[in-house]
Amino acid sequence: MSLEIEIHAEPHEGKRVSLIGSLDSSTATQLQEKIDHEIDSTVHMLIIDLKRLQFLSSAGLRVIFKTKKYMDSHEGKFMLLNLQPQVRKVFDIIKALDGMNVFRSEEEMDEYLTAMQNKVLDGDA
Amino acid sequence: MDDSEDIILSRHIQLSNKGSECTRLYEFLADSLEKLPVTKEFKHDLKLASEELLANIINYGYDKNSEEKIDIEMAADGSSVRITFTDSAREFNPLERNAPDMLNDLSEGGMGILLVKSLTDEQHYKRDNDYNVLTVTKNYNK
Repeated sequence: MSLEIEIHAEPHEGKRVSLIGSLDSSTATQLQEKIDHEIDSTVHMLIIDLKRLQFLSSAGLRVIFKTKKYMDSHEGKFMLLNLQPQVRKVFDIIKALDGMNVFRSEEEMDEYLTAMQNKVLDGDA
Repeated sequence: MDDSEDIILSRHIQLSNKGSECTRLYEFLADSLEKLPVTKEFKHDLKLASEELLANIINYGYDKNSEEKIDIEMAADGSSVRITFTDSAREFNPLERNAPDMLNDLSEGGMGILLVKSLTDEQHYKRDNDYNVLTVTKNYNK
């Protein structure tokens, strides 16, 4: 199974990385290289959209963790979106959802972002 | 697997120790499981457990520069599926890896084995002469 990666700009100096297909030991390196190339410290928000990701193994999880760690290191936001049930299962087994921003839908993510922005505007952040 | 149950399916494939062999593994599993009355989730779980075990063998067992073979056998009876991985790499029991602290220690094999143990019902390792033999079993009708 192969992996396709789409990267689009997002508001708030963000990028959306959409994964399509399978993220496993044969495709994880492809994703890591793409991320190394496209994501640097000017990216303040990174959305990983997994709506079209059908399969995830620990090799792929490792790239996701590494990327989150990188975003954390320059205080960037990292969000996971639209996990399919079988992909969510992998995160649950590894108990990897703690400390991650995970959203079931665009709407849920937008609500969160709006709330965050309002906090900033109110001087709470 | 219960010895009193008849084997209804028995298949074998040989892969090499290259990461790209995942595809052949998936095809082998999909073809083999097609005729069994198992759920989509069952197939996914076995596919993932197999991928993790194959990746472990390729990453840890073998020297990256050598061309090696990995034998995979699948057998099914009326209530479970058993997959056996046989390789001739150095003695190595992947089941002994412990679950790491995830974000701080991105331990290569640990996550994979945690997944294998959660997604299958039984796991056994033995060293047989110069071979590592690792077997996982998943029940579907019990």
